[in-house]
Amino acid sequence: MSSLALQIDAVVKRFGATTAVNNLSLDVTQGEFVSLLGPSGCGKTTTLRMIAGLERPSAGTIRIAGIDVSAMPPEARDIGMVFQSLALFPHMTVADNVAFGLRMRGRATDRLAERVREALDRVRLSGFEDRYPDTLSGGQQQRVALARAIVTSPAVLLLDEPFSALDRSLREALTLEFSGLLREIGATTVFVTHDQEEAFAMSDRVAVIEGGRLMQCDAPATVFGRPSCTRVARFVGMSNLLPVTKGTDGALRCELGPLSLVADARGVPPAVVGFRPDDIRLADPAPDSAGLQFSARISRCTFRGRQVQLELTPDLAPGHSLRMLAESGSPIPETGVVRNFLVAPERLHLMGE
Amino acid sequence: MKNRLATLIGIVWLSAVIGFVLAPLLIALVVSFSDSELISFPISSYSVRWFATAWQKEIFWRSALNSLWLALAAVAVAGPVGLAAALAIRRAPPAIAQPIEAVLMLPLLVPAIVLSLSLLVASVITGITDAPLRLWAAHSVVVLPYVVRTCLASLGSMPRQVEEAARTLGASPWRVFRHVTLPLMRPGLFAGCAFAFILSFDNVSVSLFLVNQKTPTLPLAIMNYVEYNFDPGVAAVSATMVALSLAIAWLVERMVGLRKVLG
Repeated sequence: MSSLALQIDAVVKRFGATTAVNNLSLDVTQGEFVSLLGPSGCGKTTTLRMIAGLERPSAGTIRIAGIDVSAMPPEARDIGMVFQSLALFPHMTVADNVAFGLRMRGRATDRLAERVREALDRVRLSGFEDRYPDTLSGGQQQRVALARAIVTSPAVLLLDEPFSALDRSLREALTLEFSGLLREIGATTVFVTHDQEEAFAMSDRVAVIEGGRLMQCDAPATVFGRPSCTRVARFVGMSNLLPVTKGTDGALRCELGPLSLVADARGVPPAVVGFRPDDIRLADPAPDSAGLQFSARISRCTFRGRQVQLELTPDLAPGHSLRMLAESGSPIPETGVVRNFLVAPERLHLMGE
Repeated sequence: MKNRLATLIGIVWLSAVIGFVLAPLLIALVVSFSDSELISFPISSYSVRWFATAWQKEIFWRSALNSLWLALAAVAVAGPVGLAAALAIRRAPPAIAQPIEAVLMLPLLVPAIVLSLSLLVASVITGITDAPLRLWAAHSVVVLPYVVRTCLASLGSMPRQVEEAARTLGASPWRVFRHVTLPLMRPGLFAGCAFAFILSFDNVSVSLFLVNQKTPTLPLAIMNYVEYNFDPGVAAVSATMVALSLAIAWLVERMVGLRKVLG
């Protein structure tokens, strides 16, 4: 159990009549990087604030390094946090900002300057010790905020959308640099973001949160490729979702026709089958194998540069509209034409509701 | 052409306003350096003798000391109370904070004479009839809004989440206040206290109702004096008051401008 840096157990947070976080449980092992991913207002920041002690859970317990901290104030918890607004102290120099945590916790008083220098070195800000935060660029301020949070070597490092204020290119560069750095120092990190790419690029595991509930927590590739439910599926872009029924012979089918699946997908309790827009292909060259084959009319065609987005109305289920993405170089039928389409077996994913 | 005309009108207008506001002050300043026995303008010869003469009069230096102590005492109350009120207003839910803020701002809105009368009535009802004590209480109330205002302003300009950040870095609420909140509020608190000092020092209406004959404040002493005398000495005293106010305003500008040094 000692390898668990953070244990969140059945935590609930209510604000008046609304429930921001609903019965959320999550364990994070030492040195792991976990992202809390979800749309704004899903409860991910509230969860992070409860870990930090800035909000009290209405129910449930939170343990940091095995210690129940649920009732402890933030200053008693062994954490470091980088805020969305960075929240650097404008009246202190960079060095004093970084030293603040060490001073308040009464740590390393004899090696204070050395520890501060090390931390600034790590974020490549040596030589900026005597500058004030408002004389630094956005990216440099980001680095100060990170150095300030990691200098105390906290048991858990909490990052609350720290890159959201930066422009895209700087953001990508810092994402890579920071995740590398945090791995290097072996920091246990909980990272809140609404940006999928950011979460996938940085994390060991991604926890998808929606409506205050944890929908799925898995490795990035698993969340992306095998979402556990329709809400996660929609969130990661698996937008074609159809209910599944089981025939008397045990065979699975959806409204478009029978499904033939690869073996390892059969374990899941079948409720919905999902596939991505770019997994639909024209069936004209005779298929080797098809997981699902259907005939549909192309109801709309939108040019999107590298890709062309098609809207398909299947013959057997005209109420549904499927979305398809095709390479814009490939030959594409015109709007109004009825054609055969297919999805390969390995591209079909069964999931719960 | 149109633009130039607009600029010209602007300059004339601005000069008129500045002249209108500053001319009387300047005349008082000039007169204070007069050598003649009576106030007259323009002055014929210069001298600083009225400064010496006036400040040697017991009524002036004694009342100036009264005013000084009164202003300091009022600031000593309004400063901490205003700071605490601003902190409470910001932390409280809006439904509670807004009415409290409105009430604290009332002394700014109520006509001075009405406020003064109310304070007199209040002093009678509460039985605080000792003149220095009730002056102290009344001045503290009158200058409080300025401290609250400036403290709220500096709290408003404080970067978001710095206090929470300090908590996550191991600081207890008291140390957060000591190391983060207070240093960041210091310019506002300082400016508020300086304005409060000036306002108390210059106040006429409240003092007029609550003062006794033995311990007048400087503005009241000046008023009494000009009833029977019309020499440049009163201009010299006024000039000193203006200089004091300007010095404090300049100090505020310096201090608030040099926020980093203060922090």
